[in-house]
Amino acid sequence: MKKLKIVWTLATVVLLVIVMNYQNGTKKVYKVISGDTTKMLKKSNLPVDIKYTSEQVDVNEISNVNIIISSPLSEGSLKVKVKDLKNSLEGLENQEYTFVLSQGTNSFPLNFQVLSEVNGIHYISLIFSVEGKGIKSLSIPVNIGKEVSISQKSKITIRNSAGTPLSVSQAEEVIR
Amino acid sequence: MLKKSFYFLFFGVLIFTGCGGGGSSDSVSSTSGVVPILSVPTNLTITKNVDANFSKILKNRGSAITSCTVSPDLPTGLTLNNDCSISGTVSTDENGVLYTFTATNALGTNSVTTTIEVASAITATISGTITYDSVPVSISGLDYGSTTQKAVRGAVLEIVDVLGNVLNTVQVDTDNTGAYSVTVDGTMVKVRVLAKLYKAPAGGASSWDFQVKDNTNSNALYVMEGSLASLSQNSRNLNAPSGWGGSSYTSTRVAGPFALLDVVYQAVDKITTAQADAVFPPLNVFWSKNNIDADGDKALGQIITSHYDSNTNGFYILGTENQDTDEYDVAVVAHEWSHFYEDKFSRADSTGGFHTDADMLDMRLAFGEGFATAFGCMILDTPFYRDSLGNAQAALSANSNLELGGSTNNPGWFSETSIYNILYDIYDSDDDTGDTLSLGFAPINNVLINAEKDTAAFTSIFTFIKALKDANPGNDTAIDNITQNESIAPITDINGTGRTNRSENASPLYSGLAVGESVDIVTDYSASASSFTRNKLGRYNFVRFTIPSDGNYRIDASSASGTNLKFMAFKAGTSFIEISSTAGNPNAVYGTAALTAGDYRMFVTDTNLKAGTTISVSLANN
Repeated sequence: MKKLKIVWTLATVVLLVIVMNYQNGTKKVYKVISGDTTKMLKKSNLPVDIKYTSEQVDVNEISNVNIIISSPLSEGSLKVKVKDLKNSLEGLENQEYTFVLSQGTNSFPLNFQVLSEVNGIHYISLIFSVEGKGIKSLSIPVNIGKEVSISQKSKITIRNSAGTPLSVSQAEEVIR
Repeated sequence: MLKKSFYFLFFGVLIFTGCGGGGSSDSVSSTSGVVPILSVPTNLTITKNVDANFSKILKNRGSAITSCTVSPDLPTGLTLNNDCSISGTVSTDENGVLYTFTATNALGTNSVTTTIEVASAITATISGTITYDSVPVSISGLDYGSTTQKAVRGAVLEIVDVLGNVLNTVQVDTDNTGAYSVTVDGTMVKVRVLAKLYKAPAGGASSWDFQVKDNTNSNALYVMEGSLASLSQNSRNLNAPSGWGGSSYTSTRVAGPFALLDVVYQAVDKITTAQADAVFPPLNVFWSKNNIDADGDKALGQIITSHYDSNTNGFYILGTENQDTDEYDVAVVAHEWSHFYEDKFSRADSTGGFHTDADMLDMRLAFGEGFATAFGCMILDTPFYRDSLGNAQAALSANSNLELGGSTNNPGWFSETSIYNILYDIYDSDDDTGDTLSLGFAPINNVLINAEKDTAAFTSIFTFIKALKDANPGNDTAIDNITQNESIAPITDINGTGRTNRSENASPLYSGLAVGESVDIVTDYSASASSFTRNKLGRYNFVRFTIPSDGNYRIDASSASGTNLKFMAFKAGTSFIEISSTAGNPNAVYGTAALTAGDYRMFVTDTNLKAGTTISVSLANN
């Protein structure tokens, strides 16, 4: 009985260690960011909107990106060109999809798994087109790393005497 | 035994967690900070007998400096502080001497050199021109090969000394050369041009404060600067480069904010020709190369699209290369500016939502969007509305010619295309099919800021044209010809009476209601059948009524089971919701409120779009 208990205990510990190892190897999702472009009054162009979610994960971890494309158009083919806007994501070779539009609700899902070696905000670019109707672009952010922000490296910001922050750029200048 | 196992398990977990934690980024320690990183202009001229606080000149981007030395000794009167800042006053002239500053902190040292000269202030007039690279948008998108340097008109220009003090401020001329001239006292100065148009408030005169800011960088105001140089070099011509390197942007897009500013300049110039005393509320134009067509945080540039935001008194403009940039899409910028103008000087009843040229829209949205496109093109004096996007900005998502009235797909009072064709034909001096009228800008502007603002009906082509005909009685026939060119029968009142086009949605367009009575509205969703079409024709039904005397009133709306009714009512001349559907069941709603005497407009809608229904609306004393 005593042996059995020891074996049970050791087995439990081994199992727990295995589980913990597995969990440690599993990605950590810091946040699932979501977006919905239907809420904004648009420029007059192709009527297409998207709703999406994308997982904010560490570098070299897979982020699941789920997109629902919608359009009120009732005829034609909706072409979607997909590209990695900053050439910084893996798993997103340039792709193109075609969806047939019909009467009623047109709702099309797209799912991607992407990863990056670089911390920061990356974007999946979607360029939509319908022959004879026009084109439109929309983007999905993919956040990599625990904290993300736009790089401030290239920015020179000072404050003037009134305390107004200034974004200063160098002009081309001819001095005589 | 179980307890022992638990402790053992817990211990095991602790050990494992400790090991696993060793690999996490939280446990990695590193030495923070960097050696001093100093920068300083190559030459510095200190003005004699002027207090010199040079903390702004010797800049350090490294960790805090703990000690600082200079060789040789500074001119008499100047003191070097431990943080490498300089303070004091020099009372004697000194020719240029090369000085070496060495800064130290816990991590190391760094040195920089500069030549310092002490000189008496002189008075000089600096003059020159200020320009920016303007990239035209053609039928193939942005045409970088046709880039020209255009004048920066009306911007605020500052002369800044080595300490960062602004010695004088002027406005760049509003001619087409971007000339300026400014007199200052000093020694070494630079020219700074702000992406800002400003005219101070003064009793009875026009005023404005328009600024182009970076929403992804603390809302910083964009400025471009020249170099510090002796005041004796008093000719300074500055140009904001586009940053285009042949196939992509390869350097800072300095011109972007100034391209945007020039559209605002043209708008102000146009409006003040018709309204000399226009007092504009402050407006920020938020632009960044990071502004992208994604939903999210505007501080990260995720703005979805270029748009006007009345909540922040600003409009946001896209800027992400190879996706969608709008700083050179002048008609898009002027369109957004027109939304601002309509919001602040007139009244906008638009529903929002997406829309395209061929859509049959709710008349309020059709007018709001059609107006903004036409008004923007009037500002720019061009009939072309073009919107570039894509790789190298070499495609168009919109390409409209406002002179092509009469060939509209789905023309009518519900079409934004018809609206912008009509308004632009009324404005322009070019006669074409159905258009012999050239009213110009002032009559259109006058209607917009007066009758359209105060109208009792919802803002639409009917309210606008009725007011325009009333104000220009000799042009009734010419105006009718233009509207008929877009399949809109002559407009005789603000309520759209007598529609021959889509009469199923306009027989009548407004149902009249009186206190103690009810009215039945037959719905027609044939132009708004899907769930995406909340802003399309037929989705909203319109009611008008007059309240004879102040008092408490109740409005009821009811329909068949399965409907989901909503209503809102507004008093003439305001956008304030006076009474709405706040109680009842989905298919039988009501609202009560104290109303003052006057004319009211109201919409009622079934969000379920249940076909073949009638909506009964009643008004009663409460």
